[in-house]
Amino acid sequence: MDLTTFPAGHEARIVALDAEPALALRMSELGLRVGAVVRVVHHARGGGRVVAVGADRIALDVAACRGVHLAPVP
Amino acid sequence: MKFSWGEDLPVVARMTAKIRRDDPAEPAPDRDVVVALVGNPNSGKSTLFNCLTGAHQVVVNAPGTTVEVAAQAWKDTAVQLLDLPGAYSLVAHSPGEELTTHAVTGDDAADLVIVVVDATALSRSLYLAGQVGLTGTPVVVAVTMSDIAAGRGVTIDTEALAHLLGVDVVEVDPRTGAGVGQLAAAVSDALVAPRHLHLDAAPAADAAVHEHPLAQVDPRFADAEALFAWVADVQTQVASTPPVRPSRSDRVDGWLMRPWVGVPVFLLVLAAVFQLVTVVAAPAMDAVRWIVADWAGAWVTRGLDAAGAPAWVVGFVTDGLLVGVATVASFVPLIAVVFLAVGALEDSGYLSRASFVADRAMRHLGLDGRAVLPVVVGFGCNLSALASLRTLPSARQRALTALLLPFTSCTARLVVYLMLATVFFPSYAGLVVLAMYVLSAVLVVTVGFVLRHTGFRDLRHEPLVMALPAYQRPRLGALASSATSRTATLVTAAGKVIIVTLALMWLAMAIPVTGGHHFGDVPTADSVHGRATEAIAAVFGPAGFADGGAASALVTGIVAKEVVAGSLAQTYGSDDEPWTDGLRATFERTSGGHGAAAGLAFCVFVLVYTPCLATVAELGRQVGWRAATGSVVASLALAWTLAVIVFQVGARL
Repeated sequence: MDLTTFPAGHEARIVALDAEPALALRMSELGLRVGAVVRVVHHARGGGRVVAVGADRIALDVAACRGVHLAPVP
Repeated sequence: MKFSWGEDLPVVARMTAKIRRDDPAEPAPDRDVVVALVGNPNSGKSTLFNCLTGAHQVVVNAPGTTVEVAAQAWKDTAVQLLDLPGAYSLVAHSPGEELTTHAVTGDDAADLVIVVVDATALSRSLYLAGQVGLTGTPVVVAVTMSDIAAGRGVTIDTEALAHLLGVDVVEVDPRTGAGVGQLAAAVSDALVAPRHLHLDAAPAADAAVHEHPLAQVDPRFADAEALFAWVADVQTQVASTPPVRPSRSDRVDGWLMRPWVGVPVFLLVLAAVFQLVTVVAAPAMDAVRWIVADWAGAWVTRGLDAAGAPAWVVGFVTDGLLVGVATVASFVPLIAVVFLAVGALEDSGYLSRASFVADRAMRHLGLDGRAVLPVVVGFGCNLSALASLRTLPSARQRALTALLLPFTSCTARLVVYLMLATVFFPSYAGLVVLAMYVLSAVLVVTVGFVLRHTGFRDLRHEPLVMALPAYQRPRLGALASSATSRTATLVTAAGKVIIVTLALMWLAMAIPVTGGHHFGDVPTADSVHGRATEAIAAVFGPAGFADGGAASALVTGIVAKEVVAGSLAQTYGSDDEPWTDGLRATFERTSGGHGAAAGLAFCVFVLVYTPCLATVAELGRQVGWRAATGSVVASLALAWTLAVIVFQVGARL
């Protein structure tokens, strides 16, 4: 599942980044790397999401969210 | 990305070192030591810069670009400190990041880099630190935001970090000045005995990394992946990583991200900024203008008369120079208010949320979400809007937005619409004014569409991914310092253009073209200015208002739109009839009986043509004089074309 369908308040591990190379690199540089554990903090207007990566908070619009594939952390 | 800095980076070159690092005991006069601050956006880098340099700083655009760099001497030293644009990576994604990369890696790179590590964003900060370390530039690490990170349950062992990195690591709080002394000592030591980041532990892309799917797509990923591994290793050893728990900022965002709360709050904030620009700043502007032009003008006149100066000298000084100085000075409170308001919004962390909320709507216009504030402010004052553009991180987005802002209808133009609409459409004045604002919005969208498909084709719509800084209380001292320097930079640049232009306009009005008049004592109609506006008036024949008075009002309107209404009232009023009757009668005559259509065409021309001189001057500073001149010429052509269409269609209805 991707970030648009993941419920808020739950942790997940990023399993793939499906984006243009430059954007995927930028996401990775911001901490949204394959293998990173993130927590969906907010669902925003228009399908955007705010995720927590450690103490950091990253906002993504719906297009970016669609490229972040997640697996739930048990 | 089509972007180049040329062979050298003059920003750094200008600050080349006076003190030879290899012989600090004998400072040579030809070099200055340059220390650059590098860090992620919102990492506290600029606050640290303010703290280290004191109240006075110079904000300049990097040569040939719209990327801002602040430079100033470190307090009580000969060391030049550069506040480079915030960067997430040295694999540049924007002109700002490209400048930062060049300043760190170019031939004329800084002598030492202070990497600002945001404790709330340790992973991405260490990644940038690693990249700087790989360039071989000596490094000192300053850790900021430790208190906010602690509030989120993250603590950093700075001693362990210093040990792992092999460089000095100093915890600082630029808001209070805590740790700044230690940072100065660490930098001083590092300038004498440079230390390089210890990167032996990981960053060498090995075969396993090259097999990573993204690394196969783009080789840059191989290096990045290796650095990520190093970051993860360092992070594990120096920072606690408790489970994510909601912070105070999260709780606030929990409300502000909800549409029925976030959007009204967002609109309220925009309305407040708009009010500041239009209502609060106006009395201060009037007061400054009165003090300089009237009060000081009277003293200067008395002084010159007493000294026996000729009448034309008195006229030139008071009506030429002092009026120009008054116009420039009157912008100071307005621009200062804008810089303070925008700075407070940015500093508080709210501007990032506002941009995120507005991003979707602004993208329909082809603009960045952050452009919403300048565009809204533009409907109050174009100059203020240009001033607030600095919050847009992308220089290309800034240039595109800057070229669109003159089409937002400022309040000075509203006065002209109201005046003309009341005269020619007394029953529908409100509707006419509304139509002008609708046309303004249509022009912003249409011109934006054209620019994105011509000169700005390189601007692509990329999905938005942005870091959200924690909410913080804005620091008034630093805000005031930053606003002062930015206001001084803007007003100085615009002021030169305004004062010279107004002096030239005075000269045009002082030089007679007919006999019987002396220089400086000539009726306007018999001056160079009068003849020129008569000639210009003919151009407006197809738009229905080919009259010297109307043309004169438009010419003086280039200086400031506020004077258009006054100029019309002065020209068309007389002892025998009020100006409204004179204006109506003149437009009826010049339009062949279609005065209302001519009045509407005049309004359209006022909306579209050249914004005020201060805006043009600031546009030139921000996007370069070539683009600014092109903008002025294009807006004049578009204004004339639309005015002609409106008149020709209106006259036939």
